Amino acid sequence: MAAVSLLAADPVAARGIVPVDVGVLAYHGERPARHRWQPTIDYLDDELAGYSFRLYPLDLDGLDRAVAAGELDFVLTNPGHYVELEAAHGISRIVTLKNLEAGRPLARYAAVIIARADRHDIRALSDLHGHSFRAVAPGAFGGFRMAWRELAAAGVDPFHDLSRLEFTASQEAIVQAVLDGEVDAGTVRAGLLERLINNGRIRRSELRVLGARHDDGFPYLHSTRLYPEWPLARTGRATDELAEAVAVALITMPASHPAALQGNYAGWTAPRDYSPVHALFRELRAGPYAGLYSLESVVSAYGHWMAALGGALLALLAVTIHVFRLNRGLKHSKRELEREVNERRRVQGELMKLSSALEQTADTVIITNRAGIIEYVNPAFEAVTGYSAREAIGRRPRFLKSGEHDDGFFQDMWRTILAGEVFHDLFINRRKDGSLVYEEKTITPLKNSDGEIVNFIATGKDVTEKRLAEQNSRQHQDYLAHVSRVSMMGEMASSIAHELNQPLAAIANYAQGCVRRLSSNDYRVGEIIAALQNISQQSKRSGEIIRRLRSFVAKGEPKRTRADINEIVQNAASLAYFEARKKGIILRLNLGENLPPVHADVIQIEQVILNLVRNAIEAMAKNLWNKRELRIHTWSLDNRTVEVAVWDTGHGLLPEDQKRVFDAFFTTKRDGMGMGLSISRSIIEAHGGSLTATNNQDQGATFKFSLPVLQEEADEEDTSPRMSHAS
Amino acid sequence: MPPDQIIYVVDDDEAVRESLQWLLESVSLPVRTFASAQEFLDAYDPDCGGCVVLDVRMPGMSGLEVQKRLAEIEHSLPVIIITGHGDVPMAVRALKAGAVDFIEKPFNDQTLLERIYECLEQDRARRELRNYRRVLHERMQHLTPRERQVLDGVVAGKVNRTIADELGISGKTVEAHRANIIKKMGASSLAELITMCITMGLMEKGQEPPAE
Repeated sequence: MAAVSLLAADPVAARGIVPVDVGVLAYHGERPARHRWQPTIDYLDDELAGYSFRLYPLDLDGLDRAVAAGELDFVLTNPGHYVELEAAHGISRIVTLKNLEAGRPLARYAAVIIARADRHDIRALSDLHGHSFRAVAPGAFGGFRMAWRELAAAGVDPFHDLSRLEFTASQEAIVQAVLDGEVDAGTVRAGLLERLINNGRIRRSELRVLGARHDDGFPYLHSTRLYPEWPLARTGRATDELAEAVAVALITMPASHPAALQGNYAGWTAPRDYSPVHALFRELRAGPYAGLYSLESVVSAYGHWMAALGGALLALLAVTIHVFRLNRGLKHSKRELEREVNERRRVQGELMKLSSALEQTADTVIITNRAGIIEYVNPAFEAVTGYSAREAIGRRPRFLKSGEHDDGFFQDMWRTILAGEVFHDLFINRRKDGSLVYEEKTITPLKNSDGEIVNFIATGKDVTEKRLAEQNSRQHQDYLAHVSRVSMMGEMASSIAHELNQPLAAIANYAQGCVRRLSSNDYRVGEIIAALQNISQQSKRSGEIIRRLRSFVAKGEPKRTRADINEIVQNAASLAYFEARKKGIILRLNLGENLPPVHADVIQIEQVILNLVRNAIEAMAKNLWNKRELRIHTWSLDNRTVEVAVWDTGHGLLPEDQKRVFDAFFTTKRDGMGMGLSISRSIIEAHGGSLTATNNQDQGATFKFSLPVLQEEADEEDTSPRMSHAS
Repeated sequence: MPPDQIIYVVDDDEAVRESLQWLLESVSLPVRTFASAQEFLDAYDPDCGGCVVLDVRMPGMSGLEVQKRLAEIEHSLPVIIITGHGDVPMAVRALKAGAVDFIEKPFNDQTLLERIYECLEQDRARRELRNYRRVLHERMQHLTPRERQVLDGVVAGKVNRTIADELGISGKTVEAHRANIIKKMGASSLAELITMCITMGLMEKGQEPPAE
C-alpha cells in the first residue's frame, strides 16, 4: 500500500510526536470510509497529547498486508476479519463499536435474509435450494458470512445448492433487486429494513424474512445469530500505554460527540466476546479454520495416530486447565479494568459537567486565593457586574463595594471564612455602571488535603429585581395602608373630637370650681392643689390622645420593631374605645399573660386591630336590643405564633360574603371604601401571619389573625426588663 | 338649700364625673356620682328630689335610654343632657323626651349652674305641688258622701238650686254642705275651693262656676 510505505519519512515523527496509524476496513472505497471515520481519528488526536493519529482506509487485502508488515498500530474492521487477523497476526480487540443502524445504539448485530412476500415457494431457508441469492461480498461478515452459516445449517450450501450466488456492494440495491424480482433472495445487515421502512422506501408487507429469529434486546428483524459489532484492535506495534489511552478516550467519548454523529455510531464500549464469530468460522471451516477437516475424516485417515493422540490430549487437558485458570484471572483483571474505566469515565463526566455548570450558571462565581485576590470569575459575574474577567482577575473584590455595608459586616465575613466556615448573607454591591446589585452570596473556603485554606469560592444569586419588586409592592402597600389610616381617622373624627372634649371638659370644670372657691374665700388649700393636679393630668391626657392620633396617621417610614402584642392591642383599643363609646358598646380586653414578643410594624398592626374593631362596631350598630359587646383576646398556643381575635355580637357574616370579605372594594357598608379588610390582610400577610373570619356559634363574628413570634438570638438585655415588667 | 335635693351626675368618664362634682360642690350643691346608667337607676329613689346630669353617650345604656326610663316613672326628676358634641337630631330627641336642657361639653359653668338651679326650682315646685295635691286629696277623704255629691255639683259648675233639685234637698241644706266643704278642705272662700279643685285636676281652668 503506497500510503503505508510513506510512513518512514513522516515529518511528524521527526518532531518527537509519535505517529499512530489506524487502518480501517473500507468496503465502499476510501472516500466514504474517510467521511465516516476521520472525525473519530481527529478526536483521538485531540485527546491524546504527544501522538499524531492518521487514518488509512484499506480493503480486506490491504489491511491484511499492512498488519502483516507491521505498518499499523490499530485496525478497525468487521468481526470476521478481526478474528482472522487475530489468528494470523495476534491483534487484539480493545473496544467494540456501538453502532446506530436505525437510531438505536447496539454493540451486536446480525443479518436478515429476505425474499418477496408473494413468493409462496420460498418460505423457509431450506426452500432456497435452486434459487438465486444476492449478498454484499464473499468476505463481508454481516453482508454474507452470517447468512452463509444459517444457510449451511438449513442444508443449503451457497456455493453448490443455489442457482446463482451474486455479490453487490450496495445493500439497498440487494433489497431493491429482491423486490424487483431480479433475484429470489438476499441478505443484508439487520436494521436496514427498518430504516427503509421508516423512510417510506419500502413496505414491510412486500417482504418475507426467512428463518426469522428473536433475541432479547435486539430490536431488528433478523435471520442469523447475533454477533459482536466491529472491534477496534491493537496490533503488536501499539504500546500498552497507547492502547489503554485509546481505549479510555473512546469509551469516555459521549454518544453526542460530533465524531460519533458523523460516524453514525453511539460511542464505544468495553470489548465484546467474539467467540460467536469463532463458532461461525469453525462451522464453515472458513477464516482461521479453513483447511481443517472434520473429526470423522481425521479418524478414518489417521486411525493409527489415535493412541498417541490420546496421550497428547491428556497433556492438552492439563494445559487447558492451566489456561482456563489463567483465563479466569484475566477475566477478573478485565472486570477490574472495566470498573476503573467506568470510574474514570464517571469522574471525567462529572468534571465536564462541573466546569460547564460553572461557565453556564446564572449565578455569579468568584474564586480568590487565600489573600482574597481574584483568580477566576465566570461569565455570569461579567454579566451581572459589568466587569470583564480581565478587569476583575488580580484584584480584590472590594472594588465592588457599594458602601451599603458597615465595616462590621466585612469583619464578620472575614472572621467566618478564615475560621474555615461558610459565610452566607445578602451583599449589596456596586456594578461598573454605578448601580446597586443585590446578591445572595455564599462564600466557601476551599481547603487542601492538609486542611489549609487555599481558595475562597463565592457564589452569588442576583436578587436585585426581586428586591426592587418587593420594595415596590411594599411601598405600595405602605402607601395604601397610610391612606386607609388617614381615611379611617377621618371617619372617626367625631368620636375623636368627643374624646378630646372629655379631658377639656374636666379641665374646665376643675378650673371654674377653683375660681368659685377662691373667690368665695371658702376653701382649703389642699383641695385647690388636688384640683390643679387633676387639671394637669387631664391636659396630659388630651396631649396623649393627640400624640397617638398623630403617630397613627404620621407618614413616617414603616419600621418593624420588637413589640409586645398586648401593648399594640391596648393602643388600638384606646382609639377604638372612642367609637365604642359613641355607639354604646362595651369593649373588653382579654389579654394573655407573658406573651412572646413579635416583630412588627406597631402602627400597621394597630391599624388592623382598629379596622377589625370598627367593623365589629359597625356590625353591632343595628343590633339595638341585644347585648352589644366587643372583646379582643390575645394568646399564644405554641410560642411560635401570637393570635389576636376580635369577637363581636353583631349580625355576623352572610355565607356568600364569608369568602369575599377580604377582597379589595368588597363592602357591605353603605359608606365604606371596602379597602379596610383587604389592606388588613395584606399587612398581616406581609408580617408572615394570616387573617381569617368566622361566624360565632350563637351571634356575631370573630376575626382572628396570627403573627409569628420574633425569632431572636439570646439578647438578654432586651428581654430581662420586659420580663420584670410583665411580672 | 334643702337637703332633700341632690344632683345626680351620671357619666362613665371618671375625670368628667369627678370634675363636675368638684364644680358643683364649689357652690355647695350636694352631688352623687354614678359611672353607668344602670348604677344610677338601681340607686334611684323617686322620693328624693334634685336633678339628673346625664352624659348622652355611655357604653351599655345610653343617656337617652335612661331619660326614657325615667319618664316612665311617675314623679321623675328633671334631666339635663350633656354631650361632647351636640348634634341637632339628638338634641331634638332629648328635648322631646322631656329633657330640660341640652348642654355641650366643655360647659360654661355659669350656664350649667343656671340650668341646674332652674331644674332644682322646677323640681321643688313640682314636688310642692305634688305634696299640696296629696294634702288636698287627704282632706277630701274626710267629706261625707252627701258633701262629695254637692262638691261634684259645684265642680260641674251647677248653681245651688240645680244641685238642690238634683239631690232632692233644699237650697239651704246645699248652702250648709258647701260651708262644711270649704271648712273641711281648709279653704277660706268658694274661690279658693275652686282653685283647689283645679289643682287636684278635678276641673279645668276657665271652668269656674258663675258667681252667685
